[in-house]
Amino acid sequence: MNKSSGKDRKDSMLPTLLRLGEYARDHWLKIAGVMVAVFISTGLGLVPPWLIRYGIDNMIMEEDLEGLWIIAVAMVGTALLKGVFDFIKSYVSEFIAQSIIHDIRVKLYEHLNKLSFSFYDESRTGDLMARITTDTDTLHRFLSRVSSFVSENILTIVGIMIIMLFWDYRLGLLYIMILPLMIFGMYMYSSRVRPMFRKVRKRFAKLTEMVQENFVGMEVIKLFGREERQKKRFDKQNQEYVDINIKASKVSARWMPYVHFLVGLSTALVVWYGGRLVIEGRISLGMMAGFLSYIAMLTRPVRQTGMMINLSSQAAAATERIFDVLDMSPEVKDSPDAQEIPLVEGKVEYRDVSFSYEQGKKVLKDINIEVDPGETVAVVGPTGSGKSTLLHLLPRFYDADEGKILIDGHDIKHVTIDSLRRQVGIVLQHTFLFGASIRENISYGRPDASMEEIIRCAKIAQIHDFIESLPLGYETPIGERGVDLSGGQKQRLAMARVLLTDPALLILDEPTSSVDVETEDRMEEAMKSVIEDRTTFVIAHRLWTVQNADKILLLKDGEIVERGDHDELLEEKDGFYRKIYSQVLKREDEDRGDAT
Amino acid sequence: MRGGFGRRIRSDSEEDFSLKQLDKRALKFMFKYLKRYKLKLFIAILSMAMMTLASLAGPFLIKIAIDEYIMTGNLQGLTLIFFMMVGAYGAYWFFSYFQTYLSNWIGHTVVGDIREDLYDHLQGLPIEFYNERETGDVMARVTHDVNALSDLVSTGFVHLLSDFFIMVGIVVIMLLLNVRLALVSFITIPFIFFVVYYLGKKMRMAYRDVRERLAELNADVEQNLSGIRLVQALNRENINTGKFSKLSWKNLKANLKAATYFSLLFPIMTLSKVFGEALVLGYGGWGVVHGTVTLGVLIAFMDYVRRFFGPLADMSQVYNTYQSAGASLDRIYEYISEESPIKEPEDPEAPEKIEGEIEVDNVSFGYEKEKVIEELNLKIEAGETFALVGQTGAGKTTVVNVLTRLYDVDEGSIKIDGIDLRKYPKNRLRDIISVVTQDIFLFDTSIRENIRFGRPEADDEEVVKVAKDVKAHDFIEDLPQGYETRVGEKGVKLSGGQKQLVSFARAMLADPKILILDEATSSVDAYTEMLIQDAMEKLLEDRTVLMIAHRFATLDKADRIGVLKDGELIDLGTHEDLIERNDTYRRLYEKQSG
Repeated sequence: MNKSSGKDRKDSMLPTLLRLGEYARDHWLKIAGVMVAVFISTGLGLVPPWLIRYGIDNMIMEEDLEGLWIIAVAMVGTALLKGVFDFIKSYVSEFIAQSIIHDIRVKLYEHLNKLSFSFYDESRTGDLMARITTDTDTLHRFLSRVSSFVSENILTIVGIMIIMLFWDYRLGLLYIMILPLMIFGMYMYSSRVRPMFRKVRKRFAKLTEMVQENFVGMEVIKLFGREERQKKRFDKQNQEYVDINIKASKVSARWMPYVHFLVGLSTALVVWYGGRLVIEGRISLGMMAGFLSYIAMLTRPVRQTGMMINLSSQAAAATERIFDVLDMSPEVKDSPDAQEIPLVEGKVEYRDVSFSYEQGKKVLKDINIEVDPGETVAVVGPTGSGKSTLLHLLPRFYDADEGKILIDGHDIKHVTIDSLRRQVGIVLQHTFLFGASIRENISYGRPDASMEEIIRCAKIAQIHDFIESLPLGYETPIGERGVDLSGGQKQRLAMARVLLTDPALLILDEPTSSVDVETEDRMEEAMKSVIEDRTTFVIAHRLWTVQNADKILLLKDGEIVERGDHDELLEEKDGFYRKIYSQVLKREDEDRGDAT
Repeated sequence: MRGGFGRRIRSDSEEDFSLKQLDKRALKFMFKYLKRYKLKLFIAILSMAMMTLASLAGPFLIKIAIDEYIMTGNLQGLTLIFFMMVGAYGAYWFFSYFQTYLSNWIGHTVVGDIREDLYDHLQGLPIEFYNERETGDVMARVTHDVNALSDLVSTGFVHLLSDFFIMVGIVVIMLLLNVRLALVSFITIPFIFFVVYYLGKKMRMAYRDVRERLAELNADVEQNLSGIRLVQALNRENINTGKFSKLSWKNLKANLKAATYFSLLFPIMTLSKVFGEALVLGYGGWGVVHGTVTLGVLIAFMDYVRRFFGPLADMSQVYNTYQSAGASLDRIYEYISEESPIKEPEDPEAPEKIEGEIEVDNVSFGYEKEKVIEELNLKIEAGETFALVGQTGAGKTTVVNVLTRLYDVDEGSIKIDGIDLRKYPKNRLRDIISVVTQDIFLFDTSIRENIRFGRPEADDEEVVKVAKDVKAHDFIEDLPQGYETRVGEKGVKLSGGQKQLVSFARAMLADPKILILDEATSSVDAYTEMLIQDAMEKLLEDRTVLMIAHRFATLDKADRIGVLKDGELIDLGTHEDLIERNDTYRRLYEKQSG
């Protein structure tokens, strides 16, 4: 175990947890209430041993039976009263914890929704999910228990000490001598056992990751016959997880019972030394019995302290992970002077735009484009030349590093993202559908859309007939529990979804790569009316989509190397466009000759 | 399939599992593993008994100390008691160590064994199994459910036993010390049992509700995060946050309801403990005054009474552990009892050298009831490049699925070099056939590792060579870390075309005798495709190739083309033949070049 890193963690634990204070501030009155309840309940908890002492010394020894019953009833009475305060304490602290968690959770969710694409490019969904779910849950456990437990335990330990000193200074001193042993016990637990459990958790995460990837990729594993190899890898991870667990249990098996041993040892000391004092007549037997009762009360604080330390450090780590995300400011955000962009006509200009995902590796270089309202622009170029990136700048999924982009003369950096994206519709390359009904999926961007509008868009996207053929029609759920859609059907749904938002600017990133030719053809026909009156950008590999565009931009290594319409580009003798498409064209010409 | 975290929790809570439902065979399945470690289990239980004895000795020794030595003023005896007490607690520590260590050892080892076998078993199940389930569910059985079993063995079982030992031990000792006082002290027990049972039941119900609310919440988070790009593109952030806030609030309310019950449980436990003590003090004190009870017994009793309640509170939790472990075991067994219909041949047969002739003989197949392929007959010669065309849903990909034995045919047979596919050892079959699938999955490792997946023993040079062959080398070199670039979850960092190229390279590296390209270049840009087309000749040389395409550009490398319609092969011939005589083909073709 790396000692120094463990120490660092402990150092950073406090400030992180203190930041939680901001969230607690709203609840200060309730927190104060809990504190009072803790104080009273702990105080009441210390009463019974005192009563026992009194009962033995003053009633039993004096043979006062009536008084003895009163003592017994008093014991039950205190416990009842304590119960009331315990309930208040426990319920109210749960309420506070839940409220804080609710606030954090919603804030986190809201914040995640604001973070930019660049953030999501680098994150794993599972990891982010864990922050909203597991981490907040850990924090909840910490908040609802730790604070009240810790104060309760400290109060108990100190309270007993005061009572002891008050009863008899020798017993008090004995008690004070016992305390370091207890603290040593806690220390052992936290320094030995805790790190082991952290290792266990890490291993488990690794195992889970491996299992997940293997199951998701099972088809590939099977197709390549790599079962044996993957199994060996899994077995190794599995064995390591078993080993670390056994190792951890060895450590905890050694140090967990230690606490009980310590309490037992203290009891023995009290019997021995206290018994001596009783024999010598310096203290009463009742006092010794009361003391034994108090010692038994120590088991809980000592045992819990280990747990508390554990929980606190987990909570600190969880809080850190949560704040990490909250502290992350979105790379793309509204500028302070941002204004709503007025209804877009559709003029788009890129001026000297450069962009890179990672420093030093420019994906786009000095891009200049001018598009008039209503034009259709096709973007073509080799894989990885920056086509998608170029168009992702338009709805500000990413911000350009240099240069600016204007829509109708408005710099998009100076308009609100909301108003911008409302008018820029995009069909993304990777189609994603939500686990909801087909209707809900299509109306995702405009939940208030009427059924007629939804059907109209589905018709344009050539998916209406298919939807109607399903038993539940538009209400058919999508996803694992619903209908299985082919790649082409998914793309068509995505198309309908964007069409429904009726954007002034339309971006289609390979909208039909998985759609079969016949359907694509019909789709194109239907899309004509949609494309006609708005500025449209299309990324496409296929010639037939490109041919009809008003402008074609040929992108290579992040630069626009050729531009013009289809015929103009074909005329460029040594043009790249010509090189790619002349072959295709030639073959198509031949074929057409054959066919007719 | 999609990995689902929230889903798992939902499916967890969906069932209201009762231990009575648990299949006897599932228990047998687990005991089979436990039996392997009989001796260790025996020692663990023995240690536990000793440990309990040692811990219960304390109050008894106190009783002796008070009655025999303190009352009589015997200092030497007192010292002796001191050492005996220290000894007893020392013994407690010692046995507790063995007990905890051994039971954990057994728990984790058994669970490790089960997990290994479960994984192996799952991997042997056909792809159908995975397509029908959510990855998150399958995953959770291997990770969380198996862990729940470990809790059952190492803590659940041991705790229950040790609680039982302690409670029985206390009752016996108390009865031995003083029957009447013991009986009076037990008065509260039935009441406690009732309260624990009642509250326990209420709490279980409340927590089930909490879990359901949590599952809803998680499912929402998962959907939102997986579709985040879309959420932002469609401006749904605020609506979604509003929805989430409502879900979170519901979750809060469910939690508070549960809090009512658990906030009650603890005070009630304390109350009954103190009530027990008070009874002992009152009635015992009365006895002391009347000389029927000694002071030592009184003090020891208070100690025992206090100790009695810990295990009792535990008991209310143990049931939960058992219930969830039982549910987990049931779920695990469900998968274990799932049998793979695609079996290794009993008498495997495979020629030394494969030529690559494929013969599809009267094959019919359907995923469920509906037939997708009907009485398909097709012969592809060794070394031939054969293309299959047809509309979406014609059954093209299904042909690939049965050819690779991801599924077995319902009727008829498929032969390679005259030998039925089902006669080939599965691994051999995988060496012979490589597929570039339509939906591409890449592992979240480097590009190099992904390509190497095709043939793990290939060296770096071979990887680069094959990448050059399929024209992937240039774009890979352009990436920040070249071949070492991690491709991200399911390859998100690469474009569709790039993924296809990597997957193509992966398949080619395996150097298969039979190559299946299922829409292998549909997302590749025209330029790269042109390059690939040029390289194709060399790539396809000396192999039998089955191409599936709905783009016609790729078809001119094909020697023959088959037209598939509604699961039937309606025509077969060269491009020229088909254009001449086949309407479906011509229509498909003309649409595209129009």
